Amino acid sequence: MRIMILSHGHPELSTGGAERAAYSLFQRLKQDPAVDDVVFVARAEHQAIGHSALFGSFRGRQDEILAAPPPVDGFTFQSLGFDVLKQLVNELISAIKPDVVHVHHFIFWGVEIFELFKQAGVRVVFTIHEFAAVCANYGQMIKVDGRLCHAASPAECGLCFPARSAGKFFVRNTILQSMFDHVDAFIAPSAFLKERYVAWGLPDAKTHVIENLLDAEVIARGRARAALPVQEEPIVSNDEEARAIVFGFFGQINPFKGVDILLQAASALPDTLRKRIEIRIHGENRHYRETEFGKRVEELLADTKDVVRLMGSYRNEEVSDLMAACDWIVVPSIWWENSPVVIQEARMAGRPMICANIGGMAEKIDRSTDLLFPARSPGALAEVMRTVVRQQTRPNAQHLNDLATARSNADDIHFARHRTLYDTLLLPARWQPAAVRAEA
Amino acid sequence: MQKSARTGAATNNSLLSGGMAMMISEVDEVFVLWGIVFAVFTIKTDQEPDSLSLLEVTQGEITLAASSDTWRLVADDEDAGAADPIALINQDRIKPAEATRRAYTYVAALADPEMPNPFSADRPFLVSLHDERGGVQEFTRAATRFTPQQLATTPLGHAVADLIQEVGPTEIASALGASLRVRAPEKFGPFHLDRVVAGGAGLVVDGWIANLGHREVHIVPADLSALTSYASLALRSRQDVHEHLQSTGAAKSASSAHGFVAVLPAASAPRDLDFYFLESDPAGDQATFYGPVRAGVRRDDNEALQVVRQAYGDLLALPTPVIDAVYRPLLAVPKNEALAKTFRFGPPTPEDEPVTSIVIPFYGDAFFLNCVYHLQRVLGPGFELVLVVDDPRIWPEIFAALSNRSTSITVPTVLLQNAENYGYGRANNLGFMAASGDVVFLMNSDILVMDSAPLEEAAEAIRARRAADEPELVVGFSLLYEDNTIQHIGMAFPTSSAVNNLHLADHPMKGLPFSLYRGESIRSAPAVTAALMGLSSDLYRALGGFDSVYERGDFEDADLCLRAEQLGAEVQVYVRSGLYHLERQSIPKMGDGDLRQMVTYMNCAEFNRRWQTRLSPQRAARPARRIQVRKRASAGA
Repeated sequence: MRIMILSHGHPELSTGGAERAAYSLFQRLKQDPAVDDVVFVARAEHQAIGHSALFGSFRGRQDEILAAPPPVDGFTFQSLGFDVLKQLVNELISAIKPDVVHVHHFIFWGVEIFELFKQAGVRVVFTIHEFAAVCANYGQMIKVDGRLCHAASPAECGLCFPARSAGKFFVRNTILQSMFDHVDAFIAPSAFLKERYVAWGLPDAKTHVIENLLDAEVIARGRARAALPVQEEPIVSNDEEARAIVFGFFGQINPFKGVDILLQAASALPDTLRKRIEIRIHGENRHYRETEFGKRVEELLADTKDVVRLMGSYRNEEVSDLMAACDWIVVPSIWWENSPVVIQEARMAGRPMICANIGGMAEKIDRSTDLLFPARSPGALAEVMRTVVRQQTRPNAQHLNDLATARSNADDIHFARHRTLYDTLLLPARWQPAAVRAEA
Repeated sequence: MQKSARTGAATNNSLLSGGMAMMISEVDEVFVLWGIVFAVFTIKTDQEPDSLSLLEVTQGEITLAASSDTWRLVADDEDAGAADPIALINQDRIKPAEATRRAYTYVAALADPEMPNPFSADRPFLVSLHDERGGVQEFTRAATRFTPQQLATTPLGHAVADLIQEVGPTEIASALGASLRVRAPEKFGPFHLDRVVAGGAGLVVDGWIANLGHREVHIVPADLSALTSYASLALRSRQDVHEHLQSTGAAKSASSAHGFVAVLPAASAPRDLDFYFLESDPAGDQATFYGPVRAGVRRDDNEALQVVRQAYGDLLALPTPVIDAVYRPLLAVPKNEALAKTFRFGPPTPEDEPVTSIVIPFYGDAFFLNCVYHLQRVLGPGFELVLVVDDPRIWPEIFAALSNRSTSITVPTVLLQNAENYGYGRANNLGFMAASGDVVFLMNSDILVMDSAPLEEAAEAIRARRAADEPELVVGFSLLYEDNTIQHIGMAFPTSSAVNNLHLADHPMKGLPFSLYRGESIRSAPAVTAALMGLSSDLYRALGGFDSVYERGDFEDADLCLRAEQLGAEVQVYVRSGLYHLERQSIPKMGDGDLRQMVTYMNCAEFNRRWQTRLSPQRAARPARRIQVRKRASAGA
């Protein structure tokens, strides 16, 4: 079996959960003896390729190809240079001869890639990472006025974007859905994401819920930590100098990840409580420094500098250790999320979580250890934090360890499910399950 | 000239071979005055020139004829009269051997009272001279200019003036009077033009002329293409002018009605307006051209409309003739000669099998090219696309988009680049000319076809009708909005108080869920929208396409259907799912909504005038109500 993993970016060049998930899958496939060949193809800025060709390799690695396809229309995701895209895709197909292409994002490529691969006889698998096809607001399903969006329809989408008519959203949907018709199997990393996409028009039977794979290094460190004997710390301490309870935030400092909710919650806590906690912000504010959001974060940081420590950006392989140094991992995203990799990493690091109670976050937590708060409510988050500190809430360490072990083992299951899906797609048509056969 | 001379010579030979007396004809010039075509031609013969019977002038698909009894003899001197400028031109061509023959110069006038301006002076004319035995000589001539000076002073001019009195519109005939002269503008007395504003296909002149209230002054463009009569001027009181005139002793009465607003038609917006004042004396026997006068022109569609609205009043309050004279030029799109460049994409159009052409005009928004991409995906073989980009602003975007995805184009595609914006009707007509199918679909760019089966079905039905020699078919379709409610299931023509109780082209059930429609799957309707309409190319050709009297895309589809019905065609609506018309909610811009409304009303009024008996037979049986027109002699409205 020959497999091509197609990503919208290389994780070393652009940090994002989807790129990392694609790359982790690639790494696992490389170790699978049943897979003859696997190539990772990532879209990159032409500059990153470093020479005049539209293809190049990442750090000279022969199975990690960078490609610079033409720009894409921001509304319909169709390529603005279809002829060039077609040439690139056909070159990839004839050079790699994949049986299966697993697309991890069509943005930056152009939604026509599904059609091009399908026409060339390649089986097409597509992992959906957010709501890009459903929602023109950065695929977040948040209305432009900030409210959460529960369902898309051309007329309602037209309300978010008055410059575009409902008819244009209908055209957008039609084009995207007609391109998705060329996909043999969809993978949604969360049931929540699947539900939203099926409501939008994706075929239920073709859409499989399979969790993303995690980085091999994260798994390895998680396993190593879980193998260590459990050390229970004393539960109650009246010592003023007792170690502060550490709440960790991991992710980009942007309006969607909700770091401002966490900071507001912190500033709402009484001083007595603030003395007993520490909030560590791991992540960078790259793109939002000059925005209103950036200014609000700056102000909040000034208000909370007694409890907040800015830890800066981190490398993926460090995340396990950085998380392990926290007591709680807070995931306060104000959008639905899909399957946040932070939740998987925290689970691997054996840490309990405090998450917003919506979408992929509510789905992915473990209710025996993790806590939910009403999304977007700093007051509610403050209340959860207050309870955690006052009551010295701390899940059983052994239980957390068990969950971490289970999660690392689950990665094998997730990988096996990917493999089974590829195998099924490559079966002769009459042997395929009805759901797959129906559209073939 | 040379080409036509060759044609003329060839047919001449056939005349000679008939054993007739020696006779040579030549068309000297063709010019157009006030929509009337004048052809000047010379016959050299040694006998009486009575063997010619008919002169025809053709441009495009329009031909007008004048029989010999309507011709005027201009000069019949033996050497063609040295004083006659026409004859002077002829002299160059006359060979010495022919000089003994007599030369008769005639002028023929051709006008169609039904069609005020059938010809364009910018395009060449084909002039045919027919003899009694069926022989024809043909000449191609470009129109020449004819000046007021020529009209007033030359024998040809006198003959032309006579003909105008006979065949011309009364308004012009009476303005010209019995005798004509030309004077310098200084002799006209004090006048001033405050502004000349171009709007649509018209010019608005705002100014004053001393004592205008007591004079009969018309305004005539220097090319004598139009005449804005005194009766159609909006006179206005100008106290400031009156005081000025009084102080210089130029005021002739107590009336301060010196100011005026006039609307002149202008096919293209000129940088300058050259014109004459044409003043008729009260007895009607002397008319004087004062000029030429030149004024700078500024383009501002909204200002032009505003000036007219202030001077003449609101469109809805005016009778149709005034609307036509005053508002129509400003609301119209200039009707220059339509020019388009052709580009081709995709495979060639097959020549050995029937082809269905889909004509899609683009205006304003290139986004709906996406619908064309989708159409490429759903159409089977046997189709051809004709994309007409009727908007130079979006041409680069559309051309680049198609060029960059040329390999995705699987349906033979003709792309037309219109030189200017010609409007919906003319853009479709241009597209039709580039289409090669025996069946043609007119399709708006914001139509999204999810399933092409209804189109194939309709094309087959249209062909089957023709094959069986049954009445032609015009097919419209059920069209849906994006929320699966009805956009169109056929038109109806109810009256509405919003348009002075005229008949509207209405879409019944618009906006209601499609599932509520319980009618036939093929229903008949008086008319269907051209947002998606199929018919045979022969029928479209026979109809002459859309009538460009309807401006900017309104009512022309209803009109086309009613004309098709007159030719015996049947109009049907195919009620099928999978066809969407993503018409957007209109968001009026400042001033824009007004213009749109005015255009709609004007088109509506024209549609009702034309189809009065068809729309409400019982009402037409009664005598038409006369509308009293208020005199505006001392207006300041």
